[in-house]
Amino acid sequence: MPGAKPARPTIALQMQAVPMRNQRITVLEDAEGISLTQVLSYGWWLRPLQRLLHLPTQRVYRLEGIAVGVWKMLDDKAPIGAIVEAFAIQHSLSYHESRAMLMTYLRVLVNRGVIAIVGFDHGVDEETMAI
Amino acid sequence: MGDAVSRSEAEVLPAYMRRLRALTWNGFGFTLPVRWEVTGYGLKPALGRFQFHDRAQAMGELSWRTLAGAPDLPRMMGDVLRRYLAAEQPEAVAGFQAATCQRQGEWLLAWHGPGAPLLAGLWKENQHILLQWFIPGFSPERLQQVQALLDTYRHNERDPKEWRIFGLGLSLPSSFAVESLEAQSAYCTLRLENPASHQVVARRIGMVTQTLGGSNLGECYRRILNRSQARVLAVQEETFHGHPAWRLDFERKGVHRMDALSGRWWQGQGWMWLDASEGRLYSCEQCGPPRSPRLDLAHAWR
Repeated sequence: MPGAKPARPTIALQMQAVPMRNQRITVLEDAEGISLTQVLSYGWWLRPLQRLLHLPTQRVYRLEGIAVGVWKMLDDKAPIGAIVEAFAIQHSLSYHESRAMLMTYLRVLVNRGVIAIVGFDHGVDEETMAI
Repeated sequence: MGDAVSRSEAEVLPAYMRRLRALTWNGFGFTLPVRWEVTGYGLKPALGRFQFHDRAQAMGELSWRTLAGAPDLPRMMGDVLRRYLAAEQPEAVAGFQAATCQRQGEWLLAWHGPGAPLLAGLWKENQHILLQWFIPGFSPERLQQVQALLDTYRHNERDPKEWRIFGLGLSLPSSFAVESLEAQSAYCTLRLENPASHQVVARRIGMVTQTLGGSNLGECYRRILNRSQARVLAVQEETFHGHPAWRLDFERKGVHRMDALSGRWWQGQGWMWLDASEGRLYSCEQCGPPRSPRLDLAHAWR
């Protein structure tokens, strides 16, 4: 029998979690922004066909504008709450406006494998992400 | 003392945070404590709620529901506390006889002791609505804060009715009801409509530099209106409540009865302005059938 679905983490728990950069990503900064290069790895059965099928060997994400500022705040130490606070002050936002914006963006980075969030492992509270 | 601290904190709040303290909805209004923000909502007229957080901590929930007749508030609140204790502090249930109740203006406050929630209730006979506050974790300080909050309560059922949330504020005839409220990060939209489909829309937008992206207010507003299927007819620089503003006249396809069938366009006008002290963009527009009387939006904006 499957276990009960774990309770969604509260906002307090979410804010204590720490976003960590993927150490296997190469970061290249220039005047306009930051390029994040992720080396792609394929399963053993696909590896021989990689060259034949012209499968990409790497994926590059480009961060510009606000995203650069957020990336620089991700120092593998600061909890989300501190980043939210700093972002709110920087952009004249309320705490929860800043939280909602950053959580959405961090979710994108997690889905792309650029960062991982350490501290909770079962998603974020969708209901309270409204603001 | 808590109230005095809260007042001095309120004075040093940045301008963009001050407007967030006003919450006025269908029948009630409050000035929220400093740093409280609405973080969740359900807006059905018969059963709805607002949820509040102060940073990461849940501060409470305000709910409303329509009832056929007046409830027995002390008994109802006692039952809520008893059920809470049964679930969270089973050892305390046996000792629970009745909640401690106290009047605070029109409100009835009820609590049991530390850790259990603090409840407040008000039966609005004229609207047949029960308003309830659920504040987690009773403490004397929390009680003081809630008393100060309840002291800010004001009625809001007469004509014109006020609607204030997320820094948006409108005062409209009571025939207008909420059509939708969209709260995205630094972008809030409140849409109200009357039975004749006359619609009023208010927006509050943060991160001004990024939103404008080098364009002026008029171009920015045109983009927003175009996205909502409106056709801009005229653009004009004006002022709105003392702020530099752009007025846009536009038209949108009718959505009501014969106008929808015949594809008739309805006229509308709106203003977008920059409140430099807050660093926010605001817009307010109306659009409706030709025979629907226009509102003075400068007067309606709060």
